[in-house]
Amino acid sequence: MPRELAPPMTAPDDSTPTPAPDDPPPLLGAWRNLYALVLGNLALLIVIFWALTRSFNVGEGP
Amino acid sequence: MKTLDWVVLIGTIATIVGYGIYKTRNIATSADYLKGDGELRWPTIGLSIMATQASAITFLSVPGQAYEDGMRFVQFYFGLPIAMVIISAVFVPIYYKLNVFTAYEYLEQRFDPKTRVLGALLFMTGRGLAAGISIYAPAIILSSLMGWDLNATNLVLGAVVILYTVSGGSKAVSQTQKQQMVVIMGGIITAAIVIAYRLPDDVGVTTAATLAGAVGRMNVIDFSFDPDTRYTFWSGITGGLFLALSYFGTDQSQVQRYLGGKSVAESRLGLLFNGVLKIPMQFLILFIGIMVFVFFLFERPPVFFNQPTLDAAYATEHAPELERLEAEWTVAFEERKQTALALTAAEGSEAEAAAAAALQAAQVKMDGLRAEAKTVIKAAVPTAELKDSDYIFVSFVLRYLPTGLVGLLLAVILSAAMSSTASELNALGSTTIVDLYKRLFRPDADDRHILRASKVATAFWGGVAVAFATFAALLDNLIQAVNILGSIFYGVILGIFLVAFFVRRVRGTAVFCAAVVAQLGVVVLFFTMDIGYLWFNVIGCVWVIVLSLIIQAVLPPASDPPPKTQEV
Repeated sequence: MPRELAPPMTAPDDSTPTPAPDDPPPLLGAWRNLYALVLGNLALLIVIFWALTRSFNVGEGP
Repeated sequence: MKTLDWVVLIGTIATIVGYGIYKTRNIATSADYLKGDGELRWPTIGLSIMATQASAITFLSVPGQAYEDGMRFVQFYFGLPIAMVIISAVFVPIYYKLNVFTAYEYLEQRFDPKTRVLGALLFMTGRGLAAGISIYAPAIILSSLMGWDLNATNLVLGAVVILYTVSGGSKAVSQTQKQQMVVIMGGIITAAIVIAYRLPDDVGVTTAATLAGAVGRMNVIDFSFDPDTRYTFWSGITGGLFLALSYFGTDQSQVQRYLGGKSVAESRLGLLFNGVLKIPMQFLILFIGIMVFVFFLFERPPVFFNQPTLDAAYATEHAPELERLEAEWTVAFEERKQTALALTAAEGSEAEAAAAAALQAAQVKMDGLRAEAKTVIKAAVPTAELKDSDYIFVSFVLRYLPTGLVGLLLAVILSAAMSSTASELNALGSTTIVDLYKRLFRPDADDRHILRASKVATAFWGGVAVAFATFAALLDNLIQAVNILGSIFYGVILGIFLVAFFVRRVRGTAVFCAAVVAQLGVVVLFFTMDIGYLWFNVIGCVWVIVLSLIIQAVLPPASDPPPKTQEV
């Protein structure tokens, strides 16, 4: 069902079904594992970029 | 442009816009219009978030930046995945729990109405101007190179965006952005393949990286603490985190993208999708610029990429000087080409280091001639903009890509312009109606009235954006001016939200006073001190947090009602 505009200065409408914040993610079981995956991906990219810089960037920067 | 290019360009844009209007033809309530039908899945949310951030300037400027400055700009995005995790864990559940339509609604529930209105006004000031730039920036470059009329380009681009954004609201924006991102990703991958194909036979991707690295353009990562270097690992992971938190967590043009999700989980996955893919996407766009640079090691590049400005300089008495420089440029290019060929042949051998040094020396000579040419152009045309890096990639596309692909790449640039502008208009319309009109003037208005008013507000902001884009040419250094304006407001907005989320004891009056004082302070700093404008984000944010704590400690305990919601 579409949600209506929240009236001003009122608490959240309890009759509107709000999703449970702790719904598990579809993979890896828990959100903290998914967050770790995203941060791990960042760490991996940084390592790859460092290796690329070390391997190729022999000249002085612009 | 050939007929096939026009067919590809108009066909792509018309299909996307038509699809967006068709898919959202039954919008009947203001909730559907402002937030979508709450059925968006994570791939649509993720693509929509990426499309909102990727403006036309991303595809015009970023490859040119890599051509001139190397790969280091990618470090600017290192804070983004961390911000995605924080927003997923903290911001999203609260926005969902409170069932808000705009981020600023939360500020009323946490603080009071005046803080909500302040947050909305700060957002609208910065974003309203940015919407004009989203149209103007690609229009000025494309009209200049293609010979299109600037005002007509502004008007057509603006009218197309207004058409589907006003018609279908938030859902139309998300649906079209999904298609636009497919075109954008397909276009840049195709461009990368074609550029690689256009390189000499013995120059593969690895050799291209070796050639670029010899002149310092494979500078992907820099761990130095040098404050004079704008893009380092440290500035990216700290400054980039601040900016990304503010942009994705509190800017309604982004918040609106994930508030339309089917559930908290879908919105989180959409954000994390962006957290995983954004850096590789930026890396690829930058690397396209590197490939264009390597391409021009073997094909003579223009001494100045903004051809209309160069033509204007040639029409003055400085023409002989430019002709002499062009002749020297040709000789220098031939020398550099020979050193590049020598390095290609020496790759992996003991002679590689000497060949790399020779290429670097040849590059320094060409850089000197280019700088000299810019000085002559400035003398010939005093009003000329000497930064021509935004013209590098599109000049390459127009001159060297095959028929059909030119139309596709222009569709990529215009898709990016439309996707970011649509999000901005959609967010500005929503904030105007939800946080100002309905909240302050028409709290009892029925849903049909709000739906109609939302469409009018979106069209109004579209008109403002087109008008601003039309008159933008009258201002100098416009893009930088708007970036500065954004930085002046972003820090204060982020400060308000961080206090809301993390500092339980601070109430509405304290944070409101702190935000007003911090905002005035940042404006005073801007006029009185010469500091990099990116620092305004940090200063504004920190001042709001510290001042609100001090003011709250001074205020009598019963001066404010307790917050209606919990913080984290």
